[in-house]
Amino acid sequence: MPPPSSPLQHETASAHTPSLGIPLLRFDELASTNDTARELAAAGHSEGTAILARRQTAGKGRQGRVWSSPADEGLYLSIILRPQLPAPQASLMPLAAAIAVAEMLSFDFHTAADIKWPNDVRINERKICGILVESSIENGLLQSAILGIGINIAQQNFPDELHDVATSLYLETGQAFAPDEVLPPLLARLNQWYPAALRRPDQVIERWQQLSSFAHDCAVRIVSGDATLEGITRGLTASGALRLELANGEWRDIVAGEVSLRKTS
Amino acid sequence: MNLKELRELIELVSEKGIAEFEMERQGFRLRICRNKPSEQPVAPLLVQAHAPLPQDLAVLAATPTPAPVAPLAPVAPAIAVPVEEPLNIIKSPIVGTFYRAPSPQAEVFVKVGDRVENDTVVCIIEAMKLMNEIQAEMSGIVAKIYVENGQPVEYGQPLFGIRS
Repeated sequence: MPPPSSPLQHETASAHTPSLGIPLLRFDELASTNDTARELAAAGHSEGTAILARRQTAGKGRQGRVWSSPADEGLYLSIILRPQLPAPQASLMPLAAAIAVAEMLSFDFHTAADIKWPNDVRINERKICGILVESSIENGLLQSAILGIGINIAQQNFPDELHDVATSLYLETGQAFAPDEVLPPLLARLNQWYPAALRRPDQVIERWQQLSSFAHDCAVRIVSGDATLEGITRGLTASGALRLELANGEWRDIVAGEVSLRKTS
Repeated sequence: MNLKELRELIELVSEKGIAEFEMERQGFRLRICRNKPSEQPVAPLLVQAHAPLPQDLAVLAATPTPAPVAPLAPVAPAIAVPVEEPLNIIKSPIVGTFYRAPSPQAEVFVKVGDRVENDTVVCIIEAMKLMNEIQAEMSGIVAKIYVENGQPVEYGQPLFGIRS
C-alpha cells in the first residue's frame, strides 16, 4: 500500500524565516533546557529563542530517559519553534535537525557521522548526539515545538553503562573543543534545514537518505512497544517514516520505535 | 434513548392510562407496566435490556416513584436504566504511537473519571521522535479510553470518549 500522501504546502508554509538562536539565553545550570524552553514558549517567547545550559541536572531523553549532561562537556541546547503547520506535516523537523548535526560533524569537524532513524547521530556506531522534539498540538496545528539537542563534546570517558554506546567529539577527533565552538556552525546549519523541513520536504528526505547508512538495504530490528519487527530498510516515505520490507515480502511504514542493526549470521 | 426521552415516555404512558407499553429498538427493549389504573397513580416500572449493554453507557437508577407502590408480582426493587449518552470523541491528529504518560514510570495524563478542560494534555503521540502532546480541546469527564499505552494509532482514530 502506498504511504499516505504528505501534502506539505510549499506555497502556504509560513513565508517567515526565523533566525534560530536569536535571542540566545545562557544558563549555568538547568534541570532541562527543554523544560525551560517550554516554559518560555508558554510565556510567549518568540520563535528562534535558544536556551543553552552549561550543565543539566535532569537532561531529557525520549520516554523519560536521562541525557547525561556534565558541566561544559556537552552542548545542551533547546530552541523554541512555532511552525504553525498542520500536525501531520511537521514530522520532518526531527529529521532535519539530525541532518544539520550530521553535516556539522562531518564537514565542520571532519568526522564520519551517520544518522540512525529517525534522528540519532552516531560516529563509529556510537551515539554522539540525541535530539528530542516536544510539541503541542491545538486544533490540529502544531502551536509550538521545542527542539532539544544534546551533543557530547569534551567527554574523555563515559560511565560504564554508556561506555559502549556513547562517544564524544573529543574521543573521535582527539581535539578538545568547547561547546561554544560547536554552537555557531550548528546554528548555521539548523537555519538552513529548519526552513527546508517546512517548505522543501523533498530535499530533507533526499539529504537524510544520503547521510544515513540506515536508509536503504539495511537489515534492522525495530522495537515499538511490545512489538518487534525485522526487515530490510527501503528508504523513507514523504513524511519521514522508515519503509521496511519484511521477510514475507510485506512492506511496512514505521513511524515510531527503536531501530537496531540486525547482525546477519 | 436518553433520560429525558425516557421520562417523557413514562409520563405519556402514565397520562394516557396505558396499562402496558413495550418497545424494542437496536437491541434495546423497554417495557413499562402500570398497576390497575384506578388504584395506583403511578406504576412500578420495569425496564429490561436483553442485548449486552455497551460499557460506556451511563447506568442510572430509575426515576423514583412519588407515590406508594404495590407491585403485582415480585419485581426487582432497584431497576437500572441504561441511557445512551453520546460521547464526544478526541481523535488522533496524526499517525504515531500512543502514550498515556510522559514516561513509563510516570503517572498517566488522564484516567477514566477525570475531568478535562480544553487545555488538558491527555496523551502523547510519537511520530519520527516528535513527541506531540495532545490537548483535550473540549471539557468533560473521561468516560472511555479506546487505545492501550504504546499502541500504534492512525490519523483520526478515536482516543478518548468524553462525557460533557
